[in-house]
Amino acid sequence: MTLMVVMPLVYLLDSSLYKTGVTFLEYMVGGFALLWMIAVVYLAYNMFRPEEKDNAVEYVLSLPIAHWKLLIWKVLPRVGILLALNLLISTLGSNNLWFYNLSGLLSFVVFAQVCGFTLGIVGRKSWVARMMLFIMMICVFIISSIPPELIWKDVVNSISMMPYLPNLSPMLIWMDHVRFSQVSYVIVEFGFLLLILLPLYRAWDLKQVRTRELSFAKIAIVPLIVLAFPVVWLFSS
Amino acid sequence: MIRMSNLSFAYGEREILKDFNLELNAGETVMITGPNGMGKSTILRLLAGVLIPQSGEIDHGYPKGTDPRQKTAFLPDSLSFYRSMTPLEAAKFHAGIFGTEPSDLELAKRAGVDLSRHIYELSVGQRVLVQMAIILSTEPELILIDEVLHSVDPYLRDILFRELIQVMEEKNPTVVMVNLNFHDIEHLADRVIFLGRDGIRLDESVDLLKAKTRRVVAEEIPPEYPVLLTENVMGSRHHIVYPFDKKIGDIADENIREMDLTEIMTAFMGGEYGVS
Repeated sequence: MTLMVVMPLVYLLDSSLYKTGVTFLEYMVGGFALLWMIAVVYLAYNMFRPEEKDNAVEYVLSLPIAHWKLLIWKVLPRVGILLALNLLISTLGSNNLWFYNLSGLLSFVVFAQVCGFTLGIVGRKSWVARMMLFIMMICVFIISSIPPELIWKDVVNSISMMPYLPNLSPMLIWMDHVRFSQVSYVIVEFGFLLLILLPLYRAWDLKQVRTRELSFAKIAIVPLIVLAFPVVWLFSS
Repeated sequence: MIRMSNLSFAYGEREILKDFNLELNAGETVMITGPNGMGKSTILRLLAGVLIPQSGEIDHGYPKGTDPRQKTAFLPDSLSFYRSMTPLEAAKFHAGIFGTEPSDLELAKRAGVDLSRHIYELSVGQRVLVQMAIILSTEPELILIDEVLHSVDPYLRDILFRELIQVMEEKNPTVVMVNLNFHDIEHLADRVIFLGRDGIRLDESVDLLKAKTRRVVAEEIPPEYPVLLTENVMGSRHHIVYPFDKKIGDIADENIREMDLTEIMTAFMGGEYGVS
């Protein structure tokens, strides 16, 4: 809210913007795009904030609702809101927030929700967790901005160049003829989550006393990954 | 019958339960007690499905595919609930999840609770009553009550117990209560489980426990007596003996006294803390 109020004032005060030819609309759209980037994580980070604030986590967990259903109720509206906002910003001229394509954007949204949610419940109020979240978002943003075939080709190239590992370069010819699915992003991103981030969470041992939440997070990861595939597939096809 | 087999659970590095086994018969009222930190509330949370055991299993005795939480009412010590709702809203929400009729909150009305106020505005005792009225409305087969009754005044506690007894008489649910105030539920509980450092230290019916525990007043007692605790009371030595099978030695009958549940449990606690 503060940013939205302050942005027009900054625009009016910043005379250099007039010289560079940036219009008020472009400036505001850029600001909203930045807000959107924050909102992607913030919404997920605070997914169970109402329950925590109300001291209702234990109550919710004792209700006969499958944990995956609970998560879908929480995730789907948020993904919808973020996509609608992105559509609005893109319509106003922010070039789809620099994502390679819609599937990149979608996978970024879903992935960011998972990461934000996981850190939100495991590492709330921890500065280490916030820093990790920030670094993670940059990495994922970079991944989401690259065409999936380039990512895969890079992976194959890297493996081929490493000593003692098999030479996979013949695969590159085959890869030129393959149409990479949108879900490639999801595979790359969740591979990143499972192979790098989760062991990192564990190494840092964020808020270990929050066992209930931690066990909930563990249960949540698999359904969220499963959820990511149809979401990305449906919206981008 | 509910069967907990080889349960293990730890909060981080701190192990609370290890290879824990317990069977609860349908329709019985069980009081779980013991010193703090022995896993009493953890057992309730595991039974309620709030926590998931790291190993072992809980068999609620329902057909496969039944969510045990559908038939469980859980009143945690944290009084976890949507406090920003009014009691009426909370009742409607709860009934919506369970697919039952919303509670009429009669229990709360009888206690004079203003149902239009938010739950966070109510006193702790009133919150207990509201929550109890709501969770009992789903006709549970398993009622789990953690140590919350100490915060309820005697009048409200009386209302609450009468309601609970009525439900127990009409529906015959299994009731598990974690309690440190034994006087309140002495006449309610069928069975007492005392959790000590090494797991279940005592698992006995209330009547049998009372029949088998005696306070022996004597300077010295024969070593054959299994003494739980020895204490000095007004200049004389009292020995709490469990199990007390028969009189040994020449101790006068008037020096062997019966005990109520509070005294017995206090002796067990003292024994657990190593007081003598």
